[in-house]
Amino acid sequence: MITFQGVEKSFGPVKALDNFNLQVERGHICGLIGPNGAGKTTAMNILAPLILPDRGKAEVAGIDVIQQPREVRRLIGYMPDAFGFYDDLRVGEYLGFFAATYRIPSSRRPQLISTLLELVGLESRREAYVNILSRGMKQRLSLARCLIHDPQVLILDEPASGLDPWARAEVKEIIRYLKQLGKTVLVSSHILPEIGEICDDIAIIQAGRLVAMGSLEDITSLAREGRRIRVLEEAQRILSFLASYPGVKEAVLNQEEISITFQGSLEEQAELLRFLAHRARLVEFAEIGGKELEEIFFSLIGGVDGGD
Amino acid sequence: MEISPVLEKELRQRFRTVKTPWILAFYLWILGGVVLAFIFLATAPQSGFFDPSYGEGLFVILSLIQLGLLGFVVPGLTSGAISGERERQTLDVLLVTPLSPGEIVVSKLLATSAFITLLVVATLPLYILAFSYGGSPWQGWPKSSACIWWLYFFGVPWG
Repeated sequence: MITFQGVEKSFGPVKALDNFNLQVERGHICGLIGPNGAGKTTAMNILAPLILPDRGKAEVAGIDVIQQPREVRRLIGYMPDAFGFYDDLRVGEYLGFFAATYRIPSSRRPQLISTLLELVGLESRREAYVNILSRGMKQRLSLARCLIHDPQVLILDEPASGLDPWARAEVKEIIRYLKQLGKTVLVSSHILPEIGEICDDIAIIQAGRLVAMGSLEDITSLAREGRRIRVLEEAQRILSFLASYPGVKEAVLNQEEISITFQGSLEEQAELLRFLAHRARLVEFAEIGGKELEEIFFSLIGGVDGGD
Repeated sequence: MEISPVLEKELRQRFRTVKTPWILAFYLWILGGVVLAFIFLATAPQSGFFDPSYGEGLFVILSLIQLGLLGFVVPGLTSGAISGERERQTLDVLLVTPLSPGEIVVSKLLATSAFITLLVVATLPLYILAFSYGGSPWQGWPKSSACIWWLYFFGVPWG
């Protein structure tokens, strides 16, 4: 549904996207995660399409964003990272304005606006001026605006940034509901735990390049710190086996305890366990310090300074 | 025919804000002050007689001041039309709609023109003073109108 193929974009000497590739399936929620300045907003602006790539190809539902930008705009709902409102409009008027820009017949607008306001929990605020809404409410109103023309694809740039935990939970609930409606969602964040749990796929971007992509489990397994193995006998022999075992990056013997760095899926881990059970008197096999999502993110982008 | 959504929004915002009546009031206050000052100065102190031949002068002065004031007001109003969207961070949201940039610009131009029309029309009662004091300003109308319309059509897009 969303495709980036070798997309490159520079702003003067700064390369915002560098051979960026990404594929998002129809009906999936894909989290685009990366530190500030990684290229998330640039990628989304290319998809919007608000800016043109220097090289490469980006498509939404098979439509090229460079060749047919107006068709792409009808397919997408875009919520930028930093956005403002027309404060002197009422909530209903604000949505009515955007409905008019999509040439939705005026007879259909009142019902449509009611449905959307109900979806985002702002039905009671229909006659309120936008400037009196809280940030969380404005964020939800912006989501309603994105949905006004019933787009197939939603591009949400940091939709939960600056929100309190309750408002974040509400936004996540709405995104989950959008998935149920069959929408394809590309949602960005610089905090992996913030949206990790609602995403089917996670794409980690760093310095304009895709660092890793997959399900949350895949991403987690990519960054597993290691395993500790305790054997009763022949630790040296097991160590030499492990050293050449696929997926084992490092194996260190410390008395009868072997520490290994294993990068593989849970299935591959189970296979390793069976392998060890046949060859050693295994007494313990444990993960060392299960990583938090945030730590995984930092290990993939290369530390807390990865964004700079 | 449906009115452009941007034009409708702009008109609604323009005439809803408290700034609009204040601009209108300030504009009329300046022009009205000039008219009253002119009449006061042109009136003979002893007899209280206002020479009707000054009526034409009043008309010309009013038109020139109107032209000068619009010269300040028009660029101020039009230059903020697009940059205001950028400042409010609403431009991106507007640009991802199917509206063409041309439609957005023309709609904003028309909305600004509507406000300037209001300013000019609101000054007509002041011109009546020039008429009522017996001036013969009819020949001045085409020139002054031409000046104002020139500003209107060239000044607005330039701003």
